[in-house]
Parts: sequence; C-alpha cells; structure tokens
Amino acid sequence: MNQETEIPERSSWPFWRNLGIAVLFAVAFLVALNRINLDLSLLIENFPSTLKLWSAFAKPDWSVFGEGVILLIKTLYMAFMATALALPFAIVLSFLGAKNLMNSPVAKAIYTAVRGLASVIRSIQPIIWAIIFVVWVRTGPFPGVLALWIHSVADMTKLFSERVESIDVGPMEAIRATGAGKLLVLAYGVIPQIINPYLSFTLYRLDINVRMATIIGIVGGGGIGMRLYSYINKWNFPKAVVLTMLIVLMVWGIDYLSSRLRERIETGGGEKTQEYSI
Amino acid sequence: MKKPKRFTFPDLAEGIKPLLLDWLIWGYLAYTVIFLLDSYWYTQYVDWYGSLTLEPWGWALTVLGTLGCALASERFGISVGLKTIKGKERAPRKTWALTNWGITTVVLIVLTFWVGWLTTDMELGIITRRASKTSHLWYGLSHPDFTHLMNIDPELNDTILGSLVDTLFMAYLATLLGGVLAAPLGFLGARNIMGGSLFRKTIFYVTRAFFNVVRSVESLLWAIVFAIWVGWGPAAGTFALLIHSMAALAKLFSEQVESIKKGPIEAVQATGASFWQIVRYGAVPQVIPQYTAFLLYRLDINVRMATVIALVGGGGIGRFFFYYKSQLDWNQVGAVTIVIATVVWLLDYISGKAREKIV
Amino acid sequence: MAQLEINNLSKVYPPDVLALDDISFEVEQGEFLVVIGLSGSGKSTLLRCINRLIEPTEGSIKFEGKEVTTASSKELKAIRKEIAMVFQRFNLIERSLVLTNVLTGQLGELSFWRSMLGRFPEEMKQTAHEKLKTVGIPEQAFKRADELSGGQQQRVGIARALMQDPKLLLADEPVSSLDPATSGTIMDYLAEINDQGKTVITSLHFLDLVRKYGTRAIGLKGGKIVYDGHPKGIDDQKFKEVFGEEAEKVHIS
Ligand SMILES: Nc1ncnc2c1ncn2[C@@H]1O[C@H](COP(=O)(O)OP(=O)(O)O)[C@@H](O)[C@H]1O
Ligand SMILES: [Mg+2]
Repeated sequence: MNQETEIPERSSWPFWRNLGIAVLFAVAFLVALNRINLDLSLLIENFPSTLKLWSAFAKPDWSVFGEGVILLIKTLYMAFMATALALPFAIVLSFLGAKNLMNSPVAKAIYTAVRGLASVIRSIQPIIWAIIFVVWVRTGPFPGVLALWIHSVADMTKLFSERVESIDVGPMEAIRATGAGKLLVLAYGVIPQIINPYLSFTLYRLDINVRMATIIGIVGGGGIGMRLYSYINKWNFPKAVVLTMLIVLMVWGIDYLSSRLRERIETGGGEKTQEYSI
Repeated sequence: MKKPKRFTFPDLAEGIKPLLLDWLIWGYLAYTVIFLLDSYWYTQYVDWYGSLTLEPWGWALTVLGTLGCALASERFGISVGLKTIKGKERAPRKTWALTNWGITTVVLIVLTFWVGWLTTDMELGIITRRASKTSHLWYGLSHPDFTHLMNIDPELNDTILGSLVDTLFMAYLATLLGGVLAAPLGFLGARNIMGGSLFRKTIFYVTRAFFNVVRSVESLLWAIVFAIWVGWGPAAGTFALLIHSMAALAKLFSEQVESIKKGPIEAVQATGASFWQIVRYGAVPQVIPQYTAFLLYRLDINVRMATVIALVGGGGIGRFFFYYKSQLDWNQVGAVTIVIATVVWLLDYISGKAREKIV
Repeated sequence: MAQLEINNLSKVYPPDVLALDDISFEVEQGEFLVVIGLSGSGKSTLLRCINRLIEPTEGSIKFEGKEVTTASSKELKAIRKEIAMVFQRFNLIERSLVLTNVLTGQLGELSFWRSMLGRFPEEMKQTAHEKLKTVGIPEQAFKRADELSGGQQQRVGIARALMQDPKLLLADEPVSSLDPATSGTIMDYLAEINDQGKTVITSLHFLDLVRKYGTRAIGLKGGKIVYDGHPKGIDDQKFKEVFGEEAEKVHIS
C-alpha cells in the first residue's frame, strides 16, 4: 500500500529564487533612493513654493476658456490626423512584419528590416521626434502630427504584426486547400481574424495620441500644450489652471469613450459573458 | 406580481440619450460643413475664430436645424443614436458599410480628416522643401560622438552613463512606490468591494475620480509642478512619474480586483481556512500575476518617459539630449539618442518577455 | 445517531426566493447519497448549506452531533476541516501550481506564518504528491492549474478534497462540465473514496450515473423533497414527478 510515490524532479528552489529576487529588488530600491535623493520631507518643507499654483485653482482666469476650447479641438484633430494617417502605413507594414507570413529569404530580410526599424522608432519618444520635426518643418501643429504619426506607425506596426503572428492557421489552410492564391488567403483566411483587434488597437493608439498631443506643444509641436507651457513659463497660473482642467476633461472623456468602444469591439457587440451561477 | 410601470427619471435619461447622440452627430456634421465652406468660400484666411463667427441667426439656425435633423432621423428610422444606444434593428445580412451606422461613420471620418488636414496646417511640400535643414541632424546621428559616455561633461557635471543610471533608477523608484501606493487605492476604487452603503459608494466615486484626474495629466506636466515644488533634478522627475504611475496602476488594480472570481475563494473557505489564509490563497493569486505584468509594463513606460522628463526639469539622460541640442552639437545628440534607443529597446524586450512568462 | 442530521432546513434568498423549503433527512456514515432535481431545484443550495458556504435561513444541521448553523467561526473552521467539497467548475486557483492547489486542502492544519510564507512541511508535500498519484496525475504536480484539461482539473479538485482526509465529501455536480468518458473516471474516484468508509453526498444530472453509483437518492423539486429512497426505486412515474413531464427525453440517456 505505502509504496514510494515518485515525485517529479523539482527542488525547493523557487522559494530561494523568489527570496533572491526580492532581496535584489530591495537593494536596488535602497541604492536608487540614495542616488536620486528622493526626500519626502522636501515635499512638506517646500510646500509654500507651490502655494501660488494651488491658489490659482481657487480663482481661475476663465477669460482663456474660449481660446482653450478651440485649442482643445485643434489638439484632438492633431491626434486624429496622426492616427488616421498612421493606420494605412501600419496595416501594410504589419503584414510585412509578421513572421508567419514572410517565409522566403527575401521576405525574411524584409521582416527583419520592418520589425527592427519599428523597434528603433518606437524607442524614441514622440517628444524627441517632435524636436526633430520642428527643426525640419518649423513650429506648429504640423510637426506635432508628424511626430505622433511616425511613433504611431512604429507602435501600431508592432502591435498589429504580433496579432497577425498569433492568428489561427486553421482558416488559412482551409482557404489554401481550395487552391486559392496568396491574396485570397489573406482576404479570407487572415483579415477576418484581425479586423477587430486592429480596430481596437487603433482606438487605443488614438487614446495615447490624444494624451501625447497635450504635451507635444512643449517643444513647439502645436496644440493646447504649447499655450499651456507658455502660460506656465510666465507664471500665469490662473490661466494655466483653466487649460489644465480642459485637458483633464478631454483626456478623461476620450479615455472613457475609447475603452467603452474597445470593450464593445472585443465582446463582439454583445453583452459580457455572465459569471457562472453558484 | 408585475408592478405597474411608473415614470422615473432614468427612463427619461435613457429615452433622451439616443436623441442627444443624433443631435451631436448632426451638429458635428454642420460644424465641419461650416468650417469647410468658410475655409474655401472666403479663400483668404480662416482661423478657428473666423470659422466660429456665424451671424446670430446663423447660430440659431444651426442649433435648431440640427435638432430638426436629429428628430427627423429618429422619425424615419435612420437614427444612429437609437441603434447605438438601444442596440435595436440589427441587420446581420447587410454589408456593414451600407448600414446607417457604417455610412455615418465613413462620412464623419472623411469630413474629420478633411477638416483636420486644414486645421493642423498639413503641407507635405515642406517636408521635401526643407529636407536639407535636417542634414546635419542625420550626419550627427550617423557620426555619434561618445566622448562623454564615461567622461564627465563639466557643463552638466555628469557622464551620459551616469545619467542613464539615474534615469533607470527614477523609473524604478516611481514604478515600485507607485505600485505599492496603488494597491490600497485600487481596493477603494473597486466596485465589488465598495458597493453597498452610500458611504462606501461615495468613497468609491471619489477615489475613482481622483485617479482619473491624476491620470489625465501627463507625467511631463506633473514634472513641471514638482520642479516648482522640490526644485529641478531627478527627484522632481521621480515624483512626477510616481504620481502618474500610482493613478494609472490604481485603475488597473481596481479592475483586477473587480474581476476576482468567487469560486476559488469558496473552495479555500470550504477547507476550513482562516480569513487571512483565504485572502492569501484564494484572492491574492488571482490578482498578483496580472498586476506584476502591469508593473513591468509600467516600468517600461516610465523608462521611456524618464528619458525626456528633463525637458521640464525632471533630470535624467534627457538633460544631455536637450543640452547638446541647444548647443547644436548634433554629434553628441546622436550619441545620446543611440544610448536612449538602445536602452529603451532592451527594456521593452525584456519586460515583454517577462510579461509573457507571468501571465 | 446519524452522521448528518438535517431538520426543517429552509433557505430564502433575499428578497423572496424560497430555495429550500423545510427539508429534513439523515445521512448515515458510509452512504453514497445522490441529490437529483432540475436546475434551480435547490441542489447547490442544499449542499452549500451543509458546510455553510451559504447561511441557512432556518432549521438545524447537525454534523457528528455538532450544530453547524450556530457554530462560532472557530467551531465552523473545525467542522469544515472534516467536510471536503468538490465543485462543478473545479474552482481551482488557476494561476497557482497544481501542488499548491492540493496543499490548500491542509491549510486548516498550518500555522499562520507558515501559510502566509507558503512554507508547507515536507511530509505534507509528500502526502499531496500521493493524493495526486491516487487520482492518476502525479506528473502534473508542477504545472499551473490552468494548463490542465477539465478532467485533470477535476482530479486536482478531488485530490484537494482528499488532502483534507474528510469524513464527508460534498460534490456539487462534479461531472456536469465534463465529457461522458471523463465523467465515469471521476465518479469511479468518488466511489473509491466511498468504499473507504467516507460519506459522499453529490448532486447529479444523469439518471444512469445515479443508478450506478448511488446507494440512496433524494429528489428535490422547488426546494422540497419529493423522493427519498433507493435509486432503483425511481421508475418512470417517480422520474416524472422529480423532473417534470417534459424533461423525460433529456435526462434518460
Ligand atoms: N445567490 C442567489 N441569490 C438569489 N437567488 C439564488 C441564488 N442562488 C440560487 N438562487 C435561486 O435559488 C434557487 C435554487 O438554486 P440552486 O440551489 O442553485 O439550484 P440547483 O443547484 O438545483 O440548480 C433557484 O431558484 C435560484 O434562482
Ligand atoms: Mg447548481
């Protein structure tokens, strides 16, 4: 009855590994705290220096409201243009950057180039791209749109390609079995599987672009951030506060709408599946 | 059993929502049309003020006209609002683009694109015309000057690598502290935990509003506030990243808490476990892996942000970038850019792999 | 004295759903009791009242002479240690290891700090491996629970229950999420446990399983007991009484 149960190979190392990781994190934390000089007491000590800022919330200068709304709309358009212009590029590039679709040696080279370039472009913040484009096409919303655009193309290409790479091969093979060519396989085997995720990612990216568009003006990229930054530099907080409130409202609203829409797309328009009863 | 239907305020709100949506769509349509007319009719110069200065009667006409259109579309059964909000009249056989919904979406997107093109001053010609202005930039990027990679630059009193370490530490501290602070906030912002009494619901809504507002202000703007508060330097940048991370993570954490399943908790409960054992074995394992993944993702975002937060006084490697850029020292700008891109790329890769493993 | 004595048990879900209506019965040690009834007849509610995952509204439940309904939280924990439960949807902690899932069956025996740190004693782990072997999946111990198939997950659920070394096993539709072949295996494990003298109370949907495994059946309808006797005694007449006229074809299979 009491034969030895043979236990699959596994020592108790996960515990020690976890402990090791925890210690590592703790040490890094202490070193970082020391090096950055993160001093919480400074927040309390220096609080008076921000009084001018907080008091502006008590008496905001509403005279910039109308101007702010117009700038807000402009900012929204910037985000929209960047996303809309990035979408076609990202769609095409995503097929070229999907490992499972690129088989021949030439195709593999294209795949490597597309994904490599996308990674590099993505690693550079839109703000830095904006600096480059401001040098290039001068200050205004146009360089802002270009900066958001190039970052969006790279980011969406990565997300889209990863999605294409994880598609189910069943439908593809079924279509190929009928003797269909590459384009038909794409149209009937691939696209139906990716259309909703693509839509969802695009909305997600629009959301990010709206956020980014609010700060890209700091380096001359247009939009509401440009005006906000100039008010802050002039220490005109009552006006800056009004613009900030507008930004909060817009970003909040877009975030809400985008996540609601995405939820709807991901659940296929239907209700969420209910938890099983107990 | 059936109770007689009484008129309630939510009923009214439900009934009016589709109309409002329709009105919004028609209103936006009118807005774009007016903008485009303005921009092409008075060809000279139109800015946003210009396009908005209608005659008083024009405003009245637009407001009433669009309301009329909205009412009419509901009357004639082509209302997008009713379809979207009430979710009625699904016609699965029709091609999507031919439904009212599809047509409206396409028209609105095309108009938005058109107006957007004009309002963001798109002018593709400039790109080629001024391409020569960027030649020194490309030259600098392709001939990076790594002199100060490990040698102190006296102007900035630091090395590029040193400030890179600062950058990573800033992101790390912000993520860790933000993540720890986010957990209790996340509980307060979880609907399933804060349901019930009015008091709890109030806390729920206040918490949610708090982290939504904080989240909506980009960390770069927070950095301005903290630069004023604690002075320029990495501490300001860290505080900025921290507060933004905390709010963003609190939202994710609360969603995670909301999705906790009851089954496993009951199973642990049924074995005779104590309260803390139930929490430790029933609830925590449902939350932690996903939350760790969020933390890793956030670390990634924070490192990216930390590379540019110096723009507004937040410290880190961005100081070198913006300083060299202001000196028009493009070769050194190139070197810094390469360092930034490499590190961000590396971290993105590592964090992605680690997340895959965890979830 | 019977092992389990239930007297005048009622459960009302607020505001006014009467899920159990004045139920009384006794279960002797070693019985294999099957509860049958349509969906919504109160089977889950009954089983969950026994270990008080659901608070009964009225009546008394005595397990080995101890009153469950009024037990203090400490007494309740002690009672729950004696009663194991297996669930329809397995209710494993999906992101934890299979072994950890099995070990949770012994949480009641573990000190606070040990359980918080997850330091289970070696002999406890050894037992857990043995239980996994009993249910035929010793090689899955270090996989994450959600990597397993449904049948394997239910085996883990049973191993977790065995880990408690219970006197009474409650199984709420243990095979309803499984295919017929796997269902047979899972039911065989329950029968084996029953052969070792442990009492089993389970709710089932399929009449052939009831007839094959049960030593006694209780039929529920609208929260009331409409049948109590040997499974073989459920003829067509009785069956219609329990399941209703129209259910016939669905359930005889
Ligand atoms: N948590 C609950 N709240 C309200 N009513 C419930 C709840 N759980 C079950 N019920 C109701 O109690 C009755 C019995 O349910 P249940 O015990 O789950 O039946 P069964 O397990 O036989 O399908 C059903 O009418 C069901 O709708
Ligand atoms: Mg049930």
